[in-house]
Amino acid sequence: MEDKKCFSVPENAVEVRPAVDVIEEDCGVKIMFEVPGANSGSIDVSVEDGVLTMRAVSSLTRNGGPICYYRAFQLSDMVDVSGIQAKTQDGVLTLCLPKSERATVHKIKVE
Amino acid sequence: MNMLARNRNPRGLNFELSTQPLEEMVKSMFSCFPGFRSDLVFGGQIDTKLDVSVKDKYVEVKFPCPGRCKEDFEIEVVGDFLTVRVVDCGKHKACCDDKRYVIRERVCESYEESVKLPVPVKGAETRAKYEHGVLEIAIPRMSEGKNGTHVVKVS
Repeated sequence: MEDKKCFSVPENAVEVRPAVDVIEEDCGVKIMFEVPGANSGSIDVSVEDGVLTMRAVSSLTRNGGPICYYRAFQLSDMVDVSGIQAKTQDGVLTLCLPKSERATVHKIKVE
Repeated sequence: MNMLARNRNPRGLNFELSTQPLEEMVKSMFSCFPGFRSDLVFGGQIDTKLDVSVKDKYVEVKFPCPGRCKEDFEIEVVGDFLTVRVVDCGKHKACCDDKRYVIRERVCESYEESVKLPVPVKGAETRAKYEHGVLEIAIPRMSEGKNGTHVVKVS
């Protein structure tokens, strides 16, 4: 997920805070960002110092500049950062954040 | 087809209400503050989702609406009025109901907006595509001669 390719945001880009849904699931958390006009090549997702950052440059414009969606979330150490998966479809970026081994519920059978 | 373009005033007034004198007064009172924009007070056009731009041969309308499928859209062109409706084809709402939301900001309600196009168009030749969450509509412009305007040369 952490692609080291150069991701540049145009200087005249207009920053927009995208709407998100955060959904709790049994195996982790799913975050869905609305990023219309952006595709897999124009989206950058990174995790640094426990902060998940999403940037996406859209083909849509506002006030003469391209729209750049930006949002960041502080992750708890219950998230397995190495297992995060991302996909985009119809202008919605979906991130699946699996629970780390620490957060997994281990049921112990009493003998 | 709603022949009246939707009033873009966010307060939902359905009649023409002139706010020009009041707007001028507010502008004169607050224009000394940097960054003051009267459209934030009076609504202006900031709540519209249809981005209309006139090209040489066609009118381009972009409508950001992520997470839908093409069956969700109904597009009508009557005269110079364009209406876009977004209706849930069923599968979107059904998959939303049984989820455990921690944050829920995305909207999956039906939506409708009408806009009067700035130039005469050929509505029958309208093309639309839905890609990357953006509905793009291209409506060819009507040549000036077909709009009841006749150019007369002076000999």
